[in-house]
Amino acid sequence: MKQSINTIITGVGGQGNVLAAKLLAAAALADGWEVSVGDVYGLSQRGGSVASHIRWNRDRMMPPLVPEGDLDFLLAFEPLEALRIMTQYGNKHTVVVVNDHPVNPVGVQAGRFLYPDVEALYRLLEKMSKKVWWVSGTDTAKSLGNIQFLNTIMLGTFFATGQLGIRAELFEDAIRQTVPARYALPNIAAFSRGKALCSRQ
Amino acid sequence: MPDVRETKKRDSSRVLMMGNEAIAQGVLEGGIAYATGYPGNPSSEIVETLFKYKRSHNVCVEWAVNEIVALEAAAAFSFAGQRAVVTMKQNGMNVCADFLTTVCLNKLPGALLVVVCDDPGPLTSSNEEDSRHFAKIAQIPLFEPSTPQEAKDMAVAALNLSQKYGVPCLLRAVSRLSHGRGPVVTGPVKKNATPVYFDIDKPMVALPFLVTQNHSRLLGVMQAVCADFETDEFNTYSGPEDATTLVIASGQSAVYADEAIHVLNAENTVGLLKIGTVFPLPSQLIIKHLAHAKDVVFAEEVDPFLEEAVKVVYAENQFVLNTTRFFGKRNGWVPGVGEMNTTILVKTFSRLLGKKVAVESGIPEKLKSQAQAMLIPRELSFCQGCPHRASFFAIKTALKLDDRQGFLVGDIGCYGLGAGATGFEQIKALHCMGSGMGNLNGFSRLAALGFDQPVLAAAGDSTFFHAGLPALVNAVHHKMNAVFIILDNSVTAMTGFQINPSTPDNFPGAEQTVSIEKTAEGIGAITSVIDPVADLQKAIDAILKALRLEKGVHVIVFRHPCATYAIKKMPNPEPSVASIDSKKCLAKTCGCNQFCSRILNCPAISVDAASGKPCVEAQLCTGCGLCVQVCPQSAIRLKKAGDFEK
Ligand code: SF4
Ligand code: SF4
Repeated sequence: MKQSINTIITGVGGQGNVLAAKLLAAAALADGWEVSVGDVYGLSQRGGSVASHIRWNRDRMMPPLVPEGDLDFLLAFEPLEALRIMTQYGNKHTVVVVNDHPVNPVGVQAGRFLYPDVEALYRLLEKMSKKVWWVSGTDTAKSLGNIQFLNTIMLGTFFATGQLGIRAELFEDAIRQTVPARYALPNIAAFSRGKALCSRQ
Repeated sequence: MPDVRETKKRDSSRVLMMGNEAIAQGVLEGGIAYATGYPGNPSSEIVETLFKYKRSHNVCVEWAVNEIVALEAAAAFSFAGQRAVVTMKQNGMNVCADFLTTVCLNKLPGALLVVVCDDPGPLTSSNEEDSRHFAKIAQIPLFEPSTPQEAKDMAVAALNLSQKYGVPCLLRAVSRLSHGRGPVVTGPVKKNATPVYFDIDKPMVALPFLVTQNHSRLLGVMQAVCADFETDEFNTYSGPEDATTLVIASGQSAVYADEAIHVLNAENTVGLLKIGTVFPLPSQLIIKHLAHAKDVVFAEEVDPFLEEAVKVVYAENQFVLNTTRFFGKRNGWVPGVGEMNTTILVKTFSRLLGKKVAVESGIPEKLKSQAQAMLIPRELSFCQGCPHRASFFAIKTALKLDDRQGFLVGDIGCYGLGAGATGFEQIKALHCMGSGMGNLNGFSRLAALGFDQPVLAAAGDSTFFHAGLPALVNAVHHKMNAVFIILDNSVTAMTGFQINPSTPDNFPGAEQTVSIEKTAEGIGAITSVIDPVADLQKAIDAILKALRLEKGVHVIVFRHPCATYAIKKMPNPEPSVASIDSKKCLAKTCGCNQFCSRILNCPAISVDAASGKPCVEAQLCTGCGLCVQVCPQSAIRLKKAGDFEK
C-alpha cells in the first residue's frame, strides 16, 4: 500500500534546492495535504551534493526522510546527482525530471576523477525509472538572464508533468508569499517557461 | 501517531516551519526575555530566527562567545525571575556541563531552557554524541520532540515546567527534526510580566556544605516531575490495547516507527508507545504497557538511553510483569550507531514479526552496480575566493620548505576541510573547538623526548575566543615554543556567517570588535597580522621565520574575510575577475602541470574541453587573485569585471 507521495529535489550547493523544497511544500500544504520536508543545511555553500525530501499525503504525518527505494518523483538540478539519488531511493515507477547541465565536482577539475559520459548516464536513468524528462534548465535560465532562475524553471517542468496532485496556481501563490516582491514576477515567468519545456518533449 | 494526526488536523492557520523555527516560536510563546547560544549545526537557526523578533517581541537575543558563557548568562535571567533559553549543538553540552551540573542544585525563581540539537550519523559534526545523558547527569527534565509541532509545543511546556519546579529543562532535537519542515499551529506570544528582581536573601550558591541537601531537594523535585510526566500529553500510545509486540520510541524515531508499522500493515498487532518526556521516565506508564507486551523493540537515536531506562523499570517490577524479550541496540536488533530511518525499522520489525517486506524493492542490483561505477564523489571544497585556500597553501609550502616532516593540527569550522584535498590534506589532528591549540601545548613538550618535527596549530577567529585563549595562556605561561595560526575570516562562516568578537565593526550587524592581535600580544605572544590572499609569499615567509626561530610563542593572524559572506553581504562595487591568457599558459607542458586547476583547485578554474587548457569561469570567480600569484608563467591576470565584454 502506497503511504504517501515521495519527492526528492537534488542538486549541488547553491542551485536553490532549499527554496525549491520550501515552495513545493508550501503549495502542497495549501492544497490540503499533510507535508513533511527533510533538508540538509550546513555545508551547502561548499560545493557538496544536496537533497531535500518532500513528502505529502492525505491523512498522516510522515518522517522527513523518504524510505530507500520508495521514491515517486525526482527533480534533479544536476545529472550526476540525479543518478546518485536514483540509485539509493529510486525504483522502476519513479518519474525523473533532470536538468541536462553537468556541474563538475572539484575532483574532476583537479583531474582526480572523470565526469561520467552524460549520454550513458541518461540511458541508465531511463533504464532505472518510469520516465525521464531531460530538460535544458541551465540554458533556459541563462536565456532569462539569470542562472538563479534554474530552480523555478525546473519546478515549472516538474509541475507540467501533471502527476504531482498539487495545483500549479498554489505554487505561484507560494512564490508570491515567499519570494521578495520584486523577484516574484520574474520567478513566476521562469516557472511558466519551465512548464513549456515539458510540452516540448 | 494520534497526537499529530488528529489534534492539529487541517487547521487553516497551519504554517510550514522548520523544526528550529518552531522551537524559536515555542520559546517566544513561552515568554522568554533572553535567548543566547553558540552557533553550531544543526542548532543555529533557532537564535537566527529569534533575531528577527528581537524588536517586535522585546527579547534580548545575542550570540555568546561559547556555550558555558551563554548558559551562565541565561541562568542570570532565571535568577532574576525571568525566562531564558540557550541553544547549542551536542558538542556544546560538554562545554557548558560544568555550570549545568551545578546550577541544577539551585531552585530557580524564573525558567531556564537548554535546547540542544544532536547530529546522529553526523552531517556536520565531529562526533554523534547523545546529549540526553546530560539530563541524567544533572538530574533535569528532558523533552524529546518528534515533529516541528511538538517541538514548538514542548518548548512552551518545558519553560512552564522549569518555572513550576525551579529546575532547568533540556529539550533535545536531532538534525532531521531541526532542519526538517512540517505544519505548525502557532499560539499567542506570552508577554513577560514577572518583576525583574534578585532576592538577595536567597543566594544562588552551590557550596560544598549545601550540596547534599540541595541534591536531595532536586531528587524530590524530579519525583514530582515524574508524577507529572505519567499523564503528560506528549506520551502517547497507539495500537491495540493488548498488543503483545510493543515499540517504545522517542523523538524523531517515533515517527519512523509509526511509518514502519504502517508499511508492514501491522497497526492491528503492534503497539507504539511514544515517549516525549524521556527523563525522568514515567515508570507507571511504562509498567502499564510492559504488562501486555511479550516483545519490546526500541527506536531512538543514538544511544540505548530509553532502552536502558525501560529495562531498569522492568527489573524493578519483574515480580508483577510477564517475561518480556527486549530488542534494541544492546543486542544488535537496532543499529547502535548512525541515524535512524524508516527502512532500518521496517527491517527490524519484519524480522521480529516474521513478515515479508512489502515496500518497493528499489533499483535492481545490476543497474545499481552500473550506477556505482559512474558515481564519482562530490567532495566538499573551500568556496571560490576562500581565504583558507591561500592560508593552507602557505602552510603547505612553508612546511615543505622547512623540510623536517612538520605538520599542522587544527579543529572544526570551514577550515576543518583543511584535512581534505581542498586544504591540501594539511590538518593531521582534528577534534573539537580549539583542540589543535591545546594539542600543540603537548607537542611542544615532546622536544624533551627528542621529538624534532615542527608542529603548527590552526584555529579560527571565533574558535580563538571560544576555546583557544586558555591554550595560548598556557603556552606563554610555561614558556613553550609554539606557532599558532589564527585563520581570521571575520565571521563564523561554517554555521551561517554569524558575527563574532573578531568581526570588524564596519560589517553589517557587527558589535564591538575584540582584537585578536592585541589580545595575543597582551598575553605575551609574538604576534603578526598578514592577509594571505593579498600576499601569499609574505604568509609563507612568516610561518618559515617563526618555525626557524624555534623560540617563543608566535601568533600569526591570517586575516581576510570569508569570500562567500563578502559576496552576500558586502559586494564589491567594482569586482575583478581573473582571466588566463591561453597563449602564455603552457598547460600540460608547463613545469607546473596545470597547477592552478590541478592543485590550487579553485572551483572557478576549470579545464576547457576544447583546448584542454585551464580557464576561469567569470561568473564564479571572486577576483581574489590567489591564482595570479601561483602561475609560474604569469599567464593569469586580474581585470575589472566589466572589461570582459569590451
Ligand atoms: S564559507 Fe567562507 S570560509 Fe567557508 S569555505 Fe566558503 S569562503 Fe571559505
Ligand atoms: S582569482 Fe583565481 S583563485 Fe581567486 S576566485 Fe578567481 S579563479 Fe579562483
